[in-house]
Amino acid sequence: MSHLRQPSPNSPPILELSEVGFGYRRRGRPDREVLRGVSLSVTPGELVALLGPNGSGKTTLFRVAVGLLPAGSGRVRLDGRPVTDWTRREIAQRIAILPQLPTVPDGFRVEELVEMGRAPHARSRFGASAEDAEAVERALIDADAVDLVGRRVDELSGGERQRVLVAMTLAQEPRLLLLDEPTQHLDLAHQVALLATLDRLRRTRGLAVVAVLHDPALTALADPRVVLLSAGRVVADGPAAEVLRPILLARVFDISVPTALALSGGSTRGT
Amino acid sequence: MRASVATRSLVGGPSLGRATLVIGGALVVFLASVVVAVGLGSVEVGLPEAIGIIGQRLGLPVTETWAATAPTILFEVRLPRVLAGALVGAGLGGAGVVFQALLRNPMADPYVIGTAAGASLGAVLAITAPVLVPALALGAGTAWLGIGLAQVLAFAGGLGAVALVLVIARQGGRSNVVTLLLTGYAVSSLLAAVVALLLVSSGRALASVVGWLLGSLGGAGYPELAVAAPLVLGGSAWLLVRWRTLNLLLLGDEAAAGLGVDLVPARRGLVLLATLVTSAAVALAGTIGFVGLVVPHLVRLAIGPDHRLLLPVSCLGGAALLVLADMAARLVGGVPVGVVTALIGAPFFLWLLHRAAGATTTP
Repeated sequence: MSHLRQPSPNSPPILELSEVGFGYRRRGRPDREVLRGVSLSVTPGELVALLGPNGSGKTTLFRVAVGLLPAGSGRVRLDGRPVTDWTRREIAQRIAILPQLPTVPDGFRVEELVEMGRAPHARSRFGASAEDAEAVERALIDADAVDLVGRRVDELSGGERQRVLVAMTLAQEPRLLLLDEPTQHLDLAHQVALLATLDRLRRTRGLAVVAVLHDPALTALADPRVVLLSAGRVVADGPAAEVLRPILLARVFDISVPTALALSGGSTRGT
Repeated sequence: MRASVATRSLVGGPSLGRATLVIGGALVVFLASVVVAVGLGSVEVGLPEAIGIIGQRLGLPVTETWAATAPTILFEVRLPRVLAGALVGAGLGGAGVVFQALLRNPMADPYVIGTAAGASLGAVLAITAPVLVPALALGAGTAWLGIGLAQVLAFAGGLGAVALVLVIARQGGRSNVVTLLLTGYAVSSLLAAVVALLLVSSGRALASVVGWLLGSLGGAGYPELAVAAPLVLGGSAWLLVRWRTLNLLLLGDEAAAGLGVDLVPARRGLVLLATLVTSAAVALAGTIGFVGLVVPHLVRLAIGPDHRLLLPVSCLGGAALLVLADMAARLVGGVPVGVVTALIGAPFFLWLLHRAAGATTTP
């Protein structure tokens, strides 16, 4: 089964962006360049933390990566083929995306919402297969949301809701997970637990994960590959210890070096 | 972290038992409303007579206890009316569910993106044209497949108005939900103005136009039913097959697309099917208000938002509501059925809403 595939350093990239540019248009004319020459490839089993100031293009990068927005220039390849060659369903079978501001409809129960993650794999017209049920159960366990089963999603706290939404994306059993601020609303324990889970899924199932994170100290804890985005450009891409240097963070986030030092957990490595 | 026993039985949507119970219950309510409506009415034909007449028609040995006119009243007057009520109610209830999901707006009803205004214009044109242009009076009386010109033009008007809305909404580049809603509102207002203009300039046809606008099930005969039934039932069944897309659309466009929904064709298909169903219902009975707005809400309060159950139960619930409302309209006499649905339904809906709000705020 695909999700048991072992990560290998030589495996071909699941997602490959080369020199991707994107600008929103206004009244038919180019308005604001959001991505400029972004190159990024993600291979199975990789955990990539995407950091950057507000408005640096992180969310747009995700939308272009899954073909929700067309790249203005450059190429986006999914599994070796241009992303535009795949149907939405085929993309959804490979990439799950957790939006930053998802709508949570009233009245659904936790397990019903998580089951919606199975939609791209659905074979039967009406019911859910045993395979779906297993995937939902596994996702609930992995996202630490089992205790929420049976409750209505609109009555959950922000953090509880976030765990359910993470479970929904996990139930999709993608090969690449794009998480836009997955730790938002989560308390410290659940933030750490989520990163540990992602790290485990990466190692055991070869899942590739790109997660927008904001906390350098938390990011360093998971020891991912870190991509630093600034004004639509990739300004750094490498191991956490190399990228999360206070001087670089201070420059990109426009804060003082001592502040950056304090925010990155007081670590002095790489300075 | 092992909780497999707790989750396994909960996963997989509504259990077969619950689905059977919910749909079975709705079916019983619907059938009961049909039986009551067929049995109640003018004094000559009560429920025992109605059962007897139907039994005799089915070849059962039944002793005749009814007047000679009773079978005619039952089969030519009452039954088509009850069937029309069931068909129109089912169509409006189901289409209301679809438009509320599609537009993610609780105030959406089947008429919201132009169906009602377009159908009204079509019907009013058919009714007033002979008055305005006497030469057309000969043509207006002709029936097509046994169906009057007003019905044909109402159906075409509903479809045409929505097609116009879709085309205009697309001009802005990407057609999103808000653009669709606002375009629907603007086009409806425009068409309503044309309807008003026609009404003002044709005083004599006013009463029959107002009757049509308020909605009435009295004009439906078997030929109309035979044409509307496959449109309403087939369209609703086709919509039901798309329950998963309807559920996913509730998550918002981005999440729905991320889960494999191809938004533009999916939305277009749903709009066209729901419009087909609505236009057929409106052509049959005029613009009956309230059913398509409120039945989906009532059903959602009772059984939850999963479209697998919400859609079929709203069809059955809409059918039952309209059959009973029309029965009340018949018994009172001279009251349009749309007035009855609003008079009885609105206070009931407010009471339910109040109760539901109380349930969520009390600790």
